Amino acid sequence: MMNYLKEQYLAVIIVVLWLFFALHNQQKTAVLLEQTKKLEREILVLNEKDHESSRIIDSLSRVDTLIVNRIKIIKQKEYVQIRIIDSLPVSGLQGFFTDRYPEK
Amino acid sequence: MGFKVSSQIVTQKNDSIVTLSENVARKVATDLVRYDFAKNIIKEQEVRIKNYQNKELEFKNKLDIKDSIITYQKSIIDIHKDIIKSKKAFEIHGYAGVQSTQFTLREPTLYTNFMIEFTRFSVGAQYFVQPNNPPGYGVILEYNLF
Repeated sequence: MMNYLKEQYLAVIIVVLWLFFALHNQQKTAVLLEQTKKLEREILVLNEKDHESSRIIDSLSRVDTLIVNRIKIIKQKEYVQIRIIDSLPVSGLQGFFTDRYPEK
Repeated sequence: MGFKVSSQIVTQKNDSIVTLSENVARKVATDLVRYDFAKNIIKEQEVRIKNYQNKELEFKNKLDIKDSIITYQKSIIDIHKDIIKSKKAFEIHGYAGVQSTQFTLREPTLYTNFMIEFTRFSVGAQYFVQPNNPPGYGVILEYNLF
């Protein structure tokens, strides 16, 4: 057996080299795959953060709608108040100023 | 027939009385009401601006997150490219050529190579013929230096 291997030393060298490169590549691939998994985990975390950010933006948009509605209500109240002022009798107007600027 | 409405403006020096017509008094009252409600609207608008600022911050945050995701995905693509490169299947090539003896045309060697080429190295066999010499064959092992 040993004599046969000595005779076929070139083939042995080729096989050994081939095995060496194959194992080296396998190891390198495993390291690269591990890096990929790590990056994918980080992307998942970032996606979670992105969803959270979207949720916050949605809630802020809802708050904006509420504020717009509140402003509409204020304007409606203003309109009603002005109509009341327009229909106030003189005594009512006097009362308005007296209430607003009471004499000390 | 005209109504007279009086509004008093009290000063510290003397008690001056300013008389306003009903029409002017009504306009003043309307302006005051508008002023009161405008203050409330400004308060709401300030809240709205703050809300917009927060929203802008969140959008910026979202943009940063998306940028990071793109960067990570690019890295993953690069890694996959490396993996594909390292796992690239071998290629089989055949070559035929002539090799001179020094820089002369005397006794050139004609050869054909059959090569299995991997990323880093190639292995194959060569068959050669040479005038005045018997043909021969051998094994070729090449390492890719650059």
